[in-house]
Formats: sequence, structure tokens, C-alpha cells
Amino acid sequence: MDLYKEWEKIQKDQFTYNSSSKNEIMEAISKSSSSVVNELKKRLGYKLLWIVFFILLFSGGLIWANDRPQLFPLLLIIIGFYLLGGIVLYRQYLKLKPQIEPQNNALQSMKENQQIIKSTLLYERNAGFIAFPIAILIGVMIPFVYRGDNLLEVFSNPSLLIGLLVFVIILVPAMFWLGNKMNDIAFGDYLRQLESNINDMEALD
Amino acid sequence: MASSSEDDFTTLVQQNEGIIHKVINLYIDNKEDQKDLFQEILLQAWKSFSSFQAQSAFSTWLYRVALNTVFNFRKKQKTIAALPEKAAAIVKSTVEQQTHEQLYLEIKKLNPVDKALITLHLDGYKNMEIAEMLGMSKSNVGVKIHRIKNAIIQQLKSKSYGSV
Repeated sequence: MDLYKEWEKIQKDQFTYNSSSKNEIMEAISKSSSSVVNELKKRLGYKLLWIVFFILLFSGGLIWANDRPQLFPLLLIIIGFYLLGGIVLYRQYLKLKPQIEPQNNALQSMKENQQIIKSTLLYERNAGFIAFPIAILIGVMIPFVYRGDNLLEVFSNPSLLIGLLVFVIILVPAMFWLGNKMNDIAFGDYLRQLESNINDMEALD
Repeated sequence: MASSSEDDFTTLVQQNEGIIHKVINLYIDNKEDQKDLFQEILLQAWKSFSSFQAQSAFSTWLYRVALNTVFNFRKKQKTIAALPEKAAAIVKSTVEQQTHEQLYLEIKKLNPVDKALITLHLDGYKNMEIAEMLGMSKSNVGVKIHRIKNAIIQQLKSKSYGSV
């Protein structure tokens, strides 16, 4: 049995096509990529936009509360968290390389991209351990500070402290759950597809 | 108005377009996915075109881009576990199937990597070239191709004996 002769017959039989015109080719190269990594990068970009939105929102809060300078430290802490998160996220975003360079090891590139996305989501999750309780605390403090109350007096109230503790215990896990859920919706399918593609290519070794 | 680079690219693609269609037909059965993959391969090839330095033939380079793109592709629909559309259209009894049709079905059933190995081999690429394109060692390529060929030949022989 001559596999090469049979392969020639297959090429004539199975691989027929209509030639593409120059316009069709030009149209194809003007579109955006639908690769898995490109989609992941887009979604990371949306996260960045949300961060920019919140930075602008709380910066706007600074202007709105210009007659309540006691609020500034709280708002600046929030803005600081978002800025820090935004910088970390932006650096990760820049590292992602959806472009497939033929001379590079495709499997290695895919693994690196996967690692970047996973570590970004992990940073976000770990940052939540600090950010969520602080955000809740600031959220509780703002109305008191806005009213001009003495915070030491306010927080020396045991029932308020207990209420705050319960609030944190309930709300922080809920916020984690919601964050994970939203990340799974935004990234889950693409990460799973990337994992599947990597597994396929690892069969090369 | 297209630049000379775009003109060069489109001319080279048109001359070697068969490679893209071959890869697409081997790996993707869904028509919609095939259209998306065709566009994606062209896009990836265009983006990397500036790094193409004619150290290898454009056809070899394009084959590599196409394979890498397939491995990175996000299928909208899961690959059909049953026989592929085109192959299904030619499914006849084993007695009626010609050898090349059986060979095509056997190749389609292979995992993505083995598929790449055997088709590159049957296309006449040397083991060294295949190893470079897929990021494998030359010896590994040789061993795997040998095994795949033997397995396919065994399958085809058992089908032709079974049809007697």
C-alpha cells in the first residue's frame, strides 16, 4: 500500500477550494483576531476600563466633597487601592501576547499567556483579602465622617463594632463569591479552551 | 490602495492558499468555524509577515502559521465526535470505500498532533523540517511518524480483510 499515492488522491478529492480574491484576503486581515488569547486580553482590558471608571468616580467624589476635607483621606485610600490594582493589572495586560510568532515555541507562548491570566486573577483574589474588609470599613465610616462625628467615639460603641464585624463576616465571602463568579463568566470559557489547546499541544512531548 | 507589502502578501497567499484549506479541512468540521479559522490564519500570517525572512519557503512558513493558529483556535462548536461532514458524505460500506477515502478517515480520527505529523510527512517535508515546525526533536518525529504509519496501515489492512 502506497500511502503517498493515496494521499495524492485525497488532496484532489478532499481539499478542493475556491481561490480567494485579493479583496477577500485584505478584508480578512483587516478584522480583529478571534483567538483565545486575544479574547482573554480583551476581557482584561475591560477590567482595566472598570478600574479607570472607579478611579474617576472617586476622584469626582473628592471634588464633590471639597467642603468636607475630612473625607479626603478615606477617598484617597480607595483611589490608592484602585490605582495600585490598575498598575498591576496594566503590567499583566501588556505581558499578554496574542500574536503567534511562527519562529517561537507555540506551546510555550500559550502556557505563558495562561500563566499571566491565572496569576492576574489570583492577584485580584488575594488583593480582595485586604481590599474588601477595608472597603467595607470605609463604607461604614463615610457617613459618620461626612456628618463630622468623632470616629473614636463612634467606634467605641460595642454594638456598632459587633454589627460591623458581622457585616464583614457576611459580606466579604459574598464579595469573594461574586468576584469569582464574574471572573468565571468573563474568563472561564476562554481559559478552559486555552487549557484544552495546551493539552493538545503537550502531546507533542 | 494596497501597499507593496500587502500586494506581496496577497500574491503569496493566493499561490499557497491550498495549504490553509488543507489544514482547516483536516482539523475543523464545522463550516462556521472553518470560515473563522480561515480568517484567523490569514490575520496571524499577516501580523507575522514582517518577520518572514525567506529562510524557508513561504509554503513551509504558512503551514507553520496555520498549524499554530489551529492549536490556538477557539472553536465555537465542539468538534463533532462522529464522522466529519465531508467524510460522512462519502461514507459507504467498507467494501465500497476506496483506500484513499479510508486513509482520509483514519487521518481525521488522529489526535491533533499526530494529524500534523502524518500530513506534513505525506506532504513531503523532511523530519528535520517537521521537527522545527512543531517544536519537537528530529528523532521524536521519526519515531512517532513510523508508529502512526504502522497503525494506519494496520487499520486499513484490517478493514480490507474484514470486507472480504
